[in-house]
Amino acid sequence: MTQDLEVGTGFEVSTANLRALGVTDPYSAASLQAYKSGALSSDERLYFTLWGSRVLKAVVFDAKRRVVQAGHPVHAAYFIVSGKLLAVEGKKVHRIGPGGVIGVAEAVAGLPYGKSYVTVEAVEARVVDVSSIAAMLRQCPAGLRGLIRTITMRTLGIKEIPEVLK
Amino acid sequence: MSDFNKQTVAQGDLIFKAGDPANTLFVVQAGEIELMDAASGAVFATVGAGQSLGEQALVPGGIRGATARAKTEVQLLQITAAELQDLMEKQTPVLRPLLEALMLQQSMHNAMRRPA
Repeated sequence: MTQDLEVGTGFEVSTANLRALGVTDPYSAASLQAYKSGALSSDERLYFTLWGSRVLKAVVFDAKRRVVQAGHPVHAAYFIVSGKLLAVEGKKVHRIGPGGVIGVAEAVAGLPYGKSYVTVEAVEARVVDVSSIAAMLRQCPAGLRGLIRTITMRTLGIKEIPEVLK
Repeated sequence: MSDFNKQTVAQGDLIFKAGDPANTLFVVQAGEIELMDAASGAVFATVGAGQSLGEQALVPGGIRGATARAKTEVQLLQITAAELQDLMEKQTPVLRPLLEALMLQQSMHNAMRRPA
């Protein structure tokens, strides 16, 4: 990193706010009650369901480690449970915390990683399986494929429909 | 998709407001819809044919984060949260977390695009 880096807007789901609302883990009755109360924002609700997903494997990255490199083919996608990272795109850097997601939209679109991600401290994440994504998308009903196409294109800011989503 | 409810919305009419329960996903078949910021009312996106809006319906109990207004006369397919959940249940178990992660990544990228 150089002195020329520009700090952009960061992103995180506030786990302190979740704890204040009674969400202390993804499985307890108290957490589920808080989830059903309607007090959680959309991002907090997504964080909660992904945190508790039983189909995602856990992984831990040490501090000051490059998780993915911009421009490289997507080899894995991650959902951040805890810890801090920096997302680096050119000279712009963003602080990313819990709730951050790496590589899913790129995997769907068949594009390389758009940003590099480097851990600031130890990071706990979940691996989002993108290994068979093309086959899965081909088998998806048209409605769901259209939904995935819309979200992917908005996320990446692309105008051309990815081949796998046509 | 053709089995879902079809709706025609007149130009200028609201489709949903920020703060409403997010219980329906919409797919635009014809026309254009403007998405407006809840706080400022500024238009931040336009959604056209083949695109969807209201993805919050994927997360039961969610609320709308923006207001949607028909920029032109619009033809829509409506998919209720229950129909969407039913559709999801019939897919491979890894699709749901993938879609949820994709929505969260969209939220993250939207935040990163805002001025610091």
